[in-house]
Amino acid sequence: MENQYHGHQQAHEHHIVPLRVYLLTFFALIVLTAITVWIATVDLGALNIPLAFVVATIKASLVAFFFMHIKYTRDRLIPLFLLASLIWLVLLLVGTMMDPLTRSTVQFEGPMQDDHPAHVQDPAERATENTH
Amino acid sequence: MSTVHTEEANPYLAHHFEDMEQQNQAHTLGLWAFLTTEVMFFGGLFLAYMYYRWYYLQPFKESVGQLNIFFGGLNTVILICSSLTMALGVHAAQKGNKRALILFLILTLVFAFGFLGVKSIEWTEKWHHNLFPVLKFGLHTDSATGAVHQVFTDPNHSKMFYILYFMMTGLHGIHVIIGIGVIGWMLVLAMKGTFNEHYNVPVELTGLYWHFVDLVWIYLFPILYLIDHPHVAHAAGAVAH
Repeated sequence: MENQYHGHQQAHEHHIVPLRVYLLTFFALIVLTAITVWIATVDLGALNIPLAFVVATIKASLVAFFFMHIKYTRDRLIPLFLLASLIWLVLLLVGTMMDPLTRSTVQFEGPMQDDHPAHVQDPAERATENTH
Repeated sequence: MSTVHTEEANPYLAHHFEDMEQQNQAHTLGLWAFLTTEVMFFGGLFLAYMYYRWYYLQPFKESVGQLNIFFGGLNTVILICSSLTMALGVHAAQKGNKRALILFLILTLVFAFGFLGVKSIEWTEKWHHNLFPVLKFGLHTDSATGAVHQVFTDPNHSKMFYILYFMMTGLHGIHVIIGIGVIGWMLVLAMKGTFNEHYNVPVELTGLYWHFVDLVWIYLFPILYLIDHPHVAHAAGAVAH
C-alpha cells in the first residue's frame, strides 16, 4: 500500500475462520443444550441454578469467541466493549439484588386478604426456603 | 495526495475513512457498541425477573410448571442451527462464494421463521389456557361441569411471571423479526452480486447481530423454562395441564 498514511502495522482483518471450527462449535452447542436440559431434570438441590448458569455461560462464550470472531479479532477494542457491557450487567444485578438479599421480607402466604396478617421472615429463614 | 490504491477506489468507501480496512474496523466496532446497548436492553428485564422471583418464588414455580420444555429446547436448537448457517454464510461471503452465501442466508431465514412458528404455537397455547396476564388469568373451566376455578394459589404473583415471560420472549421475538428483515436485505444484496472477497462486512455485521439474538435466547431458555420447572421426580405444586 503506497498511501503515505498507511505506514503503521494495522491489524488486517482478513482472517477467515476455518469451517471446521464452526462445525465443532455447533456440535458443542448442541451437546451443551442437551446437558442443560438433562441437568434440569435431575434434582441437585441448590446446585441446579448455578450449574444452569455455568453451562449457559459456556455456550455463550462459544458463540462469542467463535461465531462472533472474538478469538480471531486483533482489534482489542471489541473484547473491551463486550467486557464493559458484562461488567455493567454484573453491577446492575449485584447492585440491585444485594438489597433484597440482605433484609427481611414481608412474606405473603396465599392470596392477599385484608384480614390476613403479613408474615415477617428473617433472612436466614428466607435462605433456607429458597431451595427445592 | 496519496497514490490511489484499488481499495481506496472501492465505491463503498465513505469519504471520511482512509481505506476500507479502517472503515470495516469502525463499522464492526460500531456494531459492538450497539450490542452493548442491547445487553442493557435485555439486562433490565433479567434484573426484573431476578427481583420478582426472589420475592415470589412459589408463585413463579407454579407458573413455570405450565411451560413446555420441549418447545423451549426445540427453539434453542433451531437458533443454534441458524447461527451455524449464518456463520457459514459469512464464511462464504469472505470466500467470494455467491451461491453458498445465498443458500446459507436462505437457510438462516428458514430457521428464523421456524423459531417464530414454534413461538406462535406456544403463545397460542397459552392464550387458550388463560395464561396471558389479563383478566381471565389462571381461570380454568372444567369441561364436564362448566365450573370455573383459579388454578394458581397466588394468581397475582404468578401473573408477574407471565408478564415477564411475555415481555422477555416478546422483546426477543421482535429482535428475531428485525433480524429476518436484515438477513432478507442481505439476501437481496447477495443475489445482486454486491458481496465478494473484498467487500463483505455487511454480512459479517448481520452475523454479529444474529449471534447476539442467539446469545440472549441461550440465557432466556434455562432461566424461563428450566430453573424452576418441576422435576420428573416430584410434580408437587405443578398445575395439571
